[in-house]
Amino acid sequence: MNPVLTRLQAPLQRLAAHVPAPLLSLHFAAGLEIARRLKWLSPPPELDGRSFAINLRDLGLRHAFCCRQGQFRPHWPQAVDLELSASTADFLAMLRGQMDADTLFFQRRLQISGDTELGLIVKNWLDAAERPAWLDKLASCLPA
Amino acid sequence: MELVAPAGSLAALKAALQAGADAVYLGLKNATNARNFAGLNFSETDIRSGVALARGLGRKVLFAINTFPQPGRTQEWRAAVDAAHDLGAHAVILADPGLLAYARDRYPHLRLHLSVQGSATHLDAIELMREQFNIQRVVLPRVLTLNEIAKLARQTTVEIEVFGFGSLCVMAEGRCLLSSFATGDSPNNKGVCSPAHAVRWTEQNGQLDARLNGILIDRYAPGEPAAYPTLCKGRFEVDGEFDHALEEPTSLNALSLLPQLAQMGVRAIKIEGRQRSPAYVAQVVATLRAAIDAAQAAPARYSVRPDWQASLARHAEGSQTTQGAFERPWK
Ligand code: SF4
Repeated sequence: MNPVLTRLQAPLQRLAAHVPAPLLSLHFAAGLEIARRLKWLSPPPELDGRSFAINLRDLGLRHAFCCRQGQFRPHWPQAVDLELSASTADFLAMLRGQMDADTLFFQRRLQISGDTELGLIVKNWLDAAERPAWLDKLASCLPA
Repeated sequence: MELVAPAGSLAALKAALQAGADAVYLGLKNATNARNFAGLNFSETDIRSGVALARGLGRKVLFAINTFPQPGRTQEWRAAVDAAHDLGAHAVILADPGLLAYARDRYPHLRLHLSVQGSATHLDAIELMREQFNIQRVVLPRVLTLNEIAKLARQTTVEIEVFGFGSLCVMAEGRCLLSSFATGDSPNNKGVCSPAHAVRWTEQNGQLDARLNGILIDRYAPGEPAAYPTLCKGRFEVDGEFDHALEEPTSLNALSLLPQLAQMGVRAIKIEGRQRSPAYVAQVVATLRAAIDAAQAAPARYSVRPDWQASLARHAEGSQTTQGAFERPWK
């Protein structure tokens, strides 16, 4: 894990233990929504009405969200259509387009549960998205 | 030797060209190609940009239209050939003889490559395709040894393309009905051999179960490398023994054979993986580019660099590689 994430790990784990899950989902969905408004993440129509969870294994953080009318929203129920689990560094590497999801999966570093077809749509959508310059700038503060 | 790279999106096509691919192969967003996965492949707008980019760099774009037209739907496959021609394809990669005939009659100047799905494993098959349809290249199925490939290269004037890296398909491609048995879909009719709608992964206490249409095809121990959920690479109990009944999950890696392949007259090395991300494409293409350049510059001094090997092994299915059928001393 990179040094920044290592330093953040313990406080984030404490945060996960104390902050109610809905609040985490709220912030995560807000982050995705900002990325969408910045025109980086424009979800394909197949994601509409579906729910997702991103599980950052090393931090013990689980963020659930859904996609409604092309916008990202927090998702309150525990059950989701698709859940992806990986380490924070691996998620960041995938977001930056530096890591192949199948490679992570073969190495058992990425776990997929729920609707596999939806998982494929999400993966292919992210793969096809051009990485904007601001993402690289942001990522350079957090080298994966 | 030409390096032919996979692209499932415009981003992957750009990655391939940047990393040094001579040609990129792609498919339309429908059942006319053997990677008909949800959300994958190209819109016509993306293809236009991709072809313009490739042409600007003096590289090629090949269209895979390599599934078999289904009864009553021939027009969809013909339309794909029309689109490939209109969008500026350098060649179309076809498997079905009827479609080859259509392409030859309609677009006599369009280069025709016989897809690996066409299953041409011997001289008579290749020559028949050349005589009938004037194919200019054949992509050989991954069931032939180096000796068999060398013999074919000596006997035919058709260019030969072989796979250099990627997930292995153990059958004579184009003839596999394993997934059809389990799900009703096969590479030939739907362009998929583990259709995502039929795949379910469940993990409990680190043990991962892979199911295809409800059939348990593998159970991975905690931390054990995983594979694509295809029946051919599953583990089953046969005669009281539990193991990979047909083939272990692994990726083909022909790095060490490049000088021999070049010397035989093999014209192109293909990388499998249109379903993989631009990151895979960039890293695998860059590795094979460096290796092919080294093999061509000084074949006698060529040796596989450990960093090339490591780079390919990282992306391998089941996290292991093999020379597959290329090296079969008993054959
Ligand atoms: S099921 Fe296996 S052998 Fe059959 S086409 Fe798919 S990868 Fe090849």
